[in-house]
Amino acid sequence: MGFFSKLASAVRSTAKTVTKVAQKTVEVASTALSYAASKAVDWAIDKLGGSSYNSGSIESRKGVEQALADFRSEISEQAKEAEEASIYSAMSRFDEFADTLEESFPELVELVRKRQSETESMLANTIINYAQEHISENDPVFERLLKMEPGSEKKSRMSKYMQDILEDAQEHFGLQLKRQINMLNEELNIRLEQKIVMQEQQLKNTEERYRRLSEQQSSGELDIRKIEEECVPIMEAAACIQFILEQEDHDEHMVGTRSGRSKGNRKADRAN
Amino acid sequence: MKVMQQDMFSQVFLQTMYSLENCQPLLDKVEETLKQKSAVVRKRVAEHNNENAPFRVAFCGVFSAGKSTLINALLKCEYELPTGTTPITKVVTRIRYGPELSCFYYHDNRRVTLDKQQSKLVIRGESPLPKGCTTVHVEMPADILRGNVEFIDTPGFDDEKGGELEHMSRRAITDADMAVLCCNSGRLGVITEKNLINELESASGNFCMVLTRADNLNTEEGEEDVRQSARGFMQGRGNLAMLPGSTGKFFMTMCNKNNIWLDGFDSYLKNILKNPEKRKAIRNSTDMLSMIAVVAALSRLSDETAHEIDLSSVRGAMPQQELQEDFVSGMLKMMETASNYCPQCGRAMMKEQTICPSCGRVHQIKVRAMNQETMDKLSQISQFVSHDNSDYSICWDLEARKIAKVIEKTKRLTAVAKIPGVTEMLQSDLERLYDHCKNAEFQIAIVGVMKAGKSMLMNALMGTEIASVDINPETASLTKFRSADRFYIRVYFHNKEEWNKLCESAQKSTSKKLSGLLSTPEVKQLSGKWLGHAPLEKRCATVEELRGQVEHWTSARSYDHLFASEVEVGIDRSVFDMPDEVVFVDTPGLHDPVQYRSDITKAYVKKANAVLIAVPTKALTTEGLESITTALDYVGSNKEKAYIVATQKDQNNNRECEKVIKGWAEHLVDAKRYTDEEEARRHILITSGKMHLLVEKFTRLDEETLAAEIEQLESGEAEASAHFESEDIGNLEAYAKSTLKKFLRYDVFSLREKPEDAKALIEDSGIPALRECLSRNLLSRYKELLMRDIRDEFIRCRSEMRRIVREVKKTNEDILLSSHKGTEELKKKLDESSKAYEIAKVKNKEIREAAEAVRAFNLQLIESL
Repeated sequence: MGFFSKLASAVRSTAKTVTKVAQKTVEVASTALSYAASKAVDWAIDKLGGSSYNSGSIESRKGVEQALADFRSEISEQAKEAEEASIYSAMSRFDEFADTLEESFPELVELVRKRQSETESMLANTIINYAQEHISENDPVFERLLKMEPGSEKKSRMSKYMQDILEDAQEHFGLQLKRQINMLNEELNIRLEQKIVMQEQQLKNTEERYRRLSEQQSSGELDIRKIEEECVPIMEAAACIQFILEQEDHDEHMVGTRSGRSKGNRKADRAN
Repeated sequence: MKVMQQDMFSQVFLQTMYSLENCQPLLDKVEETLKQKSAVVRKRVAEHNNENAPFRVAFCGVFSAGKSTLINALLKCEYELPTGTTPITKVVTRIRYGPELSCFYYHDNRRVTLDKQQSKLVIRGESPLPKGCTTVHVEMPADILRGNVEFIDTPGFDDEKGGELEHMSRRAITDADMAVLCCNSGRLGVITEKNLINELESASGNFCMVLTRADNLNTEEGEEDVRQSARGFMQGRGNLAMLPGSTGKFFMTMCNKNNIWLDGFDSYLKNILKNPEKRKAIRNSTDMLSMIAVVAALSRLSDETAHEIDLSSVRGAMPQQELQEDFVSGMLKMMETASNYCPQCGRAMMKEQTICPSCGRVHQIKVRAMNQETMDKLSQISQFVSHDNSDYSICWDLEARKIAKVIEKTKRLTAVAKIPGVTEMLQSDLERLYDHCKNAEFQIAIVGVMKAGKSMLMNALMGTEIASVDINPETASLTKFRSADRFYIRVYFHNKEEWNKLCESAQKSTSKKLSGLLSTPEVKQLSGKWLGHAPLEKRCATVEELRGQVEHWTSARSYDHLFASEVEVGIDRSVFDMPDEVVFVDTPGLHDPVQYRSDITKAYVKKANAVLIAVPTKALTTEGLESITTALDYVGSNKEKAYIVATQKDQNNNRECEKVIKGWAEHLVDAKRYTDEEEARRHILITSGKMHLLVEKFTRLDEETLAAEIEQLESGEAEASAHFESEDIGNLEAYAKSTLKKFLRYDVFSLREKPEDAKALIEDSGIPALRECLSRNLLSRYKELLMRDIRDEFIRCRSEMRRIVREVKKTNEDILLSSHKGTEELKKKLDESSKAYEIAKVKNKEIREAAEAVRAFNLQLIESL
């Protein structure tokens, strides 16, 4: 049993691990957020639930906007931490799998790494953006709550609404994360399958060619000229592609060196 | 020794060629080439042996490239070579070290001394030298010239070849150990420069490029473009022997009177001049390169003739047996040498290579025995390599154009040679990447409250009135405006599903206007015609026709507009000239009573690359505040892409405007949208699209039309003329008076006579500042991000592609090699390949299992989440 099989069986036998990872992901996300959120919600409710709101009054609108801004800034850091921790936790299996691909399909490792970082930047601020969209006067439900008469009813309904939105925000984030995991899963599988099929096909073809050549050699029918005619165009095209790509690489290094110099450096150079 | 061999061989070659019939034109070429090249080689070798010969650096380039200015900056001496913007230098000036300034020339072996003033006149050609004299010598105490260094300042080359000065310059370069090619940054790439680079490359190879007058480049982008072009020209050229990183070396310099910046060129040059080892290496390589040039010239000729001349027939044509043998062995030797270099570009080629990967030339010597089918394939490969398949429609970034070019070449070469190993996914990655390079789009969404002057703002940004300013808020579709090569309108229609959603949303809306409209028999009848209709494109001959079409498809005046889901308006570049990738998008409204429409706008605000929130310049109303907060909420954490555009500034004076904006900024800080007032202020721009357009129209209309229209308005015949509304002229006059701080009445016609007044009004309208802000802050940042994505993806695809071609090359090389080696080797390889196949199958089975397990794990994880 090879190393890969070990990984497979390790991964397979982990129904418990799955639950653990999932729990951890959810836990990390909600614990970090819930404490800060409940504090911030309480504060915002105090601020908003006890006063009346008139959508036609600019002062009233400004007051609400400021309270919401404070609320958002209270929860934003924790929301971000929760997002990062969840992504990290959910992506851990891809990391392990990428390591196993290193030898046979290094290009897929690059892809996994790239997609991971794309996922991170794509999901960044999902929670806070969602909250910003819905705990806002732009949301008709929230606006209705704002317009309620001040008092305990308003406070309690508003509190529930805000808690719900924060939960929805996390759920929304969870959905996005799921979608990303799914997409990465699918993409990785399709690419891997294509790679494997292609690699095996090529190895088989090479074996076939050597077999044929050996037979031709034994029967004295080996035509070197013909082999050259077959190989040369492929080799030439491959060499040209290699040159074109390496040339691009070389240029890029020059670009890298150049763009590494900041504007300030350039100005300093000029002054010197 | 090499020279002697070359000469001997040249002799044999020539004798043989003379003995052949019908070769006269070719022979003439051969003779000329050999004469030229051999003379150069002989001269260089003689010089090389003379240790007292100075190390010569020639400064060359087209006229007025800044050669003399650059030399002056390097010499840092009191005496300066005459310079100017018109061609100045008329003689070759050789400058060497001397304890004090001395200028002279030689005439009849006699040294004739010139004073400072005379020397400048002579150099300028204003005081001619005696016939036959073309060189002025200058000695001066310049540090850089110590150690037997000579700078040669040449008159310069121009597009018209063969002039006396050009001939003089060419001779001076031949004499030099290394050359410095000076090119004006603002005019880089004239044909002469390209030819000069080729000549320098084949004459000595030891040269570098200096891009002069960098101070003429106003923007970083401009500088970058020039550097990119220079890099392209110098790619792999200018081999200053033994100097690391010297190939393709170029510097960008600026030598005006107030500021001298040499980009490290002075240190680079000193580093060569003060190091005897480097000087020697350069000199040796110049000799070597000259010889290579001879061989390359011969091989080029032999390459041209190889497939025409059958060696056996040559042998038959030779009168003497001995000569025949000499010729044949010489020819073979020459071919062997020649096969190491590309006959076209002179690059070194691997033994097994038949196509130069750099220029695409098929090396005829190497493919003489190939059959027609293989030759056809090789010739196709050659064509793909040599063909410049740059897509010049990709203008937004030169690197993107280059990446697109590499992708295209790679795809074609892969297809023609049927390179195995390229998966479907990789192919689609390359396609997608190409598409990203080609179809980059920078979308600027304009949102805002009703009657905030969104359309006017859009028109002002475009510089022409295309968007209908009396647009009815019923307008439901996104309207995109872009620069194009013609006037056109393209309309995309709702499908049935979208239509049903719109109807449903309209029914739920508090405003029943739309739902009532949608249920009228006329609309119902039209739905059969337009729903699901293929995009409709109409070309327009004039701006007026286009304006009419835009109005038809975007305003409530026609029922047709209800069915449009998106309208794209192409405006001819003669009227609206923006980069192709920039698209201005008018949106239905963030607070449209029909939620389906406001959702479209909100989704679009999230997606757009930049958002302009148009709000009238007055104390914030609830509607204005709502627009700002909604847009900023939907922009999310990417708040840098949003700008609040205070419109209609002409309705207040500047002091009032500032007061209003201060109030906005304070509120935005309180609401934690920005950290401080300065940041908030940076995101607010005050504009008057209307005044911008009025000034433009008023100053550009021809006098006769303007007079007629004003007369028409003043007489009260009509409320509007073709270009103006009745109150426009009065408003413009008031605006000019207030902006230009005139206490008395300002005659608006002064704007036509005083361009500075018109310019001040245009500036004050805030539209140029907004354009600048879009381009500087948003467009450049967007390009940077997009380019970073493209580059990352390209690097990934490239490394995958490189692995594939390396593998393919190796497999085919092994097959060829083992076929040559015979039975044992083939058997060994067969065993190896069988084993590799078996191992891969086992490994892949395990990888598949692992992948399946990871997939199952993730599915479970998703479920649990």
